[in-house]
Amino acid sequence: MNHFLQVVAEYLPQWGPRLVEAAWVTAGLSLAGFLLALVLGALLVALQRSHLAPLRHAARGFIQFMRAVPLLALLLALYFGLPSLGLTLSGYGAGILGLGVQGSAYVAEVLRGGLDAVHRGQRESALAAGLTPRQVFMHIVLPQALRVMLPPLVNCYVSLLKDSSLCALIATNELMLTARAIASEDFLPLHIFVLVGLFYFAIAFPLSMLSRLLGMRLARGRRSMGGSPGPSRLGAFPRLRWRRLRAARLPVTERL
Amino acid sequence: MNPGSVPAILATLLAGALTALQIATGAALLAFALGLLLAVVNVFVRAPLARATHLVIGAYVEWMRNVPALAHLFILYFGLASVGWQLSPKVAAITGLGLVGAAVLCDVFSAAMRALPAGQREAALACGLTPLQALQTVVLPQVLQFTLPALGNYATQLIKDTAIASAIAAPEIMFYARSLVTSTFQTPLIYGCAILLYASVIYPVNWAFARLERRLGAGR
Amino acid sequence: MNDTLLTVNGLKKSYGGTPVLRDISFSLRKGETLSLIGPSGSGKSTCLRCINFLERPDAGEISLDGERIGRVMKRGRERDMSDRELAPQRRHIGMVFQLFYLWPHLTVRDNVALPALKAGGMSRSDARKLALQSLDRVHLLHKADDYPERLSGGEQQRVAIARTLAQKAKLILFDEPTSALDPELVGEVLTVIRELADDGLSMILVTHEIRFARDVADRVIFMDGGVIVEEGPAAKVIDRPQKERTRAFLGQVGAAEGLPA
Repeated sequence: MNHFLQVVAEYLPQWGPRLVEAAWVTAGLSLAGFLLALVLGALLVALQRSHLAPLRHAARGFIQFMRAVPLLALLLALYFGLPSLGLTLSGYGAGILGLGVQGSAYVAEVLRGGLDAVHRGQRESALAAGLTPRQVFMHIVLPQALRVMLPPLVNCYVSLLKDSSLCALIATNELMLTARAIASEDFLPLHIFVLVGLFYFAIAFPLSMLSRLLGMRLARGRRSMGGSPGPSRLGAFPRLRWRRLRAARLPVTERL
Repeated sequence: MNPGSVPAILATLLAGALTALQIATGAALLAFALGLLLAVVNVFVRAPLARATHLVIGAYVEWMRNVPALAHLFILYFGLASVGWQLSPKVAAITGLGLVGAAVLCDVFSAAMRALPAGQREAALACGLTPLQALQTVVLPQVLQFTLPALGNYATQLIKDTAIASAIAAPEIMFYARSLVTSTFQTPLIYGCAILLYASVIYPVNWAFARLERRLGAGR
Repeated sequence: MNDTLLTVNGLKKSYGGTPVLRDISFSLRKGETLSLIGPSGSGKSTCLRCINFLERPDAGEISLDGERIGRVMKRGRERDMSDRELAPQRRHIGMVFQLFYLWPHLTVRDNVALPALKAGGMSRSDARKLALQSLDRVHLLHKADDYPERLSGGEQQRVAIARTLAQKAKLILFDEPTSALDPELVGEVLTVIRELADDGLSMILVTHEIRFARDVADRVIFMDGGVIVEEGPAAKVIDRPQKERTRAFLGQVGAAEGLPA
């Protein structure tokens, strides 16, 4: 252990700047992919609620297909396959596209779950009060749905962050590729890959905890009749205990 | 047979499918056994050892789940090799994916066990069953029923994750696909076939789990 | 000048193959309080929900203040209105639900102000003033800045009532407003309803509280199996029911409430 730390300390000045730069690429890649996934996911949800059956089925089919395909296959197909069909993307571009397109399937399910979580009665009482369906959606359903969607969406982002490591295999200069390059230069694969693991951990773990914290605050708010998510207020943090946070991980109904 | 034709492509990819199956099965077994063990220990450990246990198991789970699977595979394959312990690509893949899966399933099983009313286990113990018997006859059957949807999700994810093993030269589907591309240049066709191959495995797996869930009234 | 506010004519509704409303007709005058009583499954709630078209009737006509509710003529054919088209009409009808359905992400005041603000097109400050007035009328002005989850069931229901007052509804529909409340909270809600009736609001009240219906309602309709069995002045129907079914129902309920047999 000590030896390990010594070696890392020795090489950190060389590795550090490169890894930090690569970390920015990873962050950019995952954020852009996530944004794309959000936009496409919202579109898919809208299509699933359309009056036209073909659109509904198309959206449903797309979601099921995207959940049945490995991300790596998608990335390789986009990066290596598209040029033959006339479209050449950079590793970064193909990465964002692949992450966004596959991520949209999971985001769509999260968004749908959030909307479904809002009790029917909320919508009914708003319609009965004379609000138009659009007003009902904007002022009553959406605000409540957003609170439910937030923890799983954060989890989605963490997944995307981890998946961005696969973009190393399509020549994107993010953390994983940089780590491999360093490994082949300095012949210290164990040290560099563990160090890179720590980089990912440093970003993903706090976000994971945040998602759980949000989820726990949400669960506390769910007391009113016609059971919908309550308002969140500052100062309503439950006592932070490691065990309770660990136990509060969201169930694996969505991606990891 | 024309090497660039669909039947030839599929034949090559199918060889990779066998490896993928081996990796998935091995990892699944490891994940299931280790995950269940960790969950049981995590939930049922008592006072003196409790805090330390939760800390250790928690650290393991959080590390495995917050670090990309690719990193875990690289650590096992390249990292261990550099300190003298060379694992074959397949073994490294099975170990890596299995360890990650154990972390995931530990959380899944822990949640299910905590959700089970304590009274059920107590009633079993009160009848004179040993803790182990209570576990086998009362706790585990219900836990498995409850976690079936999550297990189905995990199985699907695992099959897709076998593709990552191509990065450490395991001869599975994507690995063969990439080598085919360099020899025949039918890139879109090859990757298209690979994608369809995965889909053709995963759709039935999903369907099978859905049927199983319906029959066992799962997820209660 | 005709003082009929609401007419319901030939209302029919079935779910699947089962008829729930079989030809219901009645009317309501301005300022009148009408109570619908009857056993579970008699169709009272469905009837109420048809009036503001939360349920769409299979047949029948509903008119509020001379205007036909829920149906519109387009290209020579009559069809049901969409929710968007119904919004202006629903503004004139307030509904108080059994489970209150207050919006948990808004304060009490914003809950009451929202219909006036969005559906009524009032300015924000006017809507707020109106909301506070309405809250005052149900004796909950002091809770205006709280969130619904901090209020008791009875208080939440009174806020729901204030919400319909802020709508300036011509007619208020109550769908079993106290059925979901703990017994000790029922009284405060009934008091408010009584005060509104005394103030001359037009109301239709579906309730299990027979004694309250007798005291507050001008007229009572007894429904059973989707038809109106008996109707008339409240005291008459409840104290001296003419029909056997009415007597049987009231006998069961009355024994529990201590009403004259």
